[in-house]
Amino acid sequence: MKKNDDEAIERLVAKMMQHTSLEKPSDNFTKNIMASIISNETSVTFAYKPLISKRTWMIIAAAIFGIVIYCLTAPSAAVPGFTFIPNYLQKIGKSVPVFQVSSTTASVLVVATLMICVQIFLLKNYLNKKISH
Amino acid sequence: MYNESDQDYINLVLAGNANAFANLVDRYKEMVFTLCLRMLRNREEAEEAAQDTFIKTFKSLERYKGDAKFSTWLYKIAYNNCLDRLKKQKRRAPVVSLEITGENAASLSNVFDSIDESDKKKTINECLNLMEPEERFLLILYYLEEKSLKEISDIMNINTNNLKIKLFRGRKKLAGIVRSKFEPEIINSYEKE
Repeated sequence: MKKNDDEAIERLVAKMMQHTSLEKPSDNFTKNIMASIISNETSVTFAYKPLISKRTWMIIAAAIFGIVIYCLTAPSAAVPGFTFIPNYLQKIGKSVPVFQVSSTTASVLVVATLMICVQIFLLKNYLNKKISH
Repeated sequence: MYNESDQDYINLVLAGNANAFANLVDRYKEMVFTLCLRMLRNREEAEEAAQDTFIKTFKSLERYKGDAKFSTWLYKIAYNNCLDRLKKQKRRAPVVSLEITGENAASLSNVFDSIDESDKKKTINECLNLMEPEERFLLILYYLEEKSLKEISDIMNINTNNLKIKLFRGRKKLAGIVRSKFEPEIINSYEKE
């Protein structure tokens, strides 16, 4: 009995739904969509490309960081590993005034470098999101 | 046959011919617009949602793997797009839908047959608009687009068993709403007999 009721309801709904039809959007519908797509494509073509890439910045930051850490941790007297430097360069090095960096200054430099690297990354992401919206 | 053509246009777009996408838009715009209109019940908003659907589809075309029909993928984007828009709207109060038996269904069928063609369309649209958005979407996909339960399950992200239950309840609810609309006419026709 219940199955018959369900079948009757199914037939009724199927009959009624035959009288629904597709709705038409506005005449400019496709045109508007394609205009939006084409303008997005054009703006992507002229996207900003930095002179120094992110990868290069990371390498520079890592090199500075590595040098500072090495200077902090290396023994103060000898600088092993630099014996390959030719004599004329060593003479130049001796004539240049010695620039000594205290450990506090070195720490500050390291921390500042890290902060700049992080902020560059965060700012870039923030600005990219803003532009894309 | 229809799907091979969709894939041809998709390949053209991915190869760099963005204008080929217009063919896909023309092919599916009425169905996408109808689905959005049924969900949102406002022409301007539905048009906006439908356009947004196609733009999102274009941007993510590289992710279309071809394991489902393009239409299934497209309607899924439309459905999710409309759901996001509906979250911002206030929920309407639930509508009263009368209980319906097989006998009621038979009487309703007779009454429905007796009204004009234009009134039939108007009546069914009015009754559909009184249902929940997901119910409307489901009925349109099932009856108008004749999608299988498996395809609708992929589009709406509901498993097939739950979908069968929703479809069953949706039919009953729609029939109940139509009954509440036609109740006076049915009583009159019984009285005349």
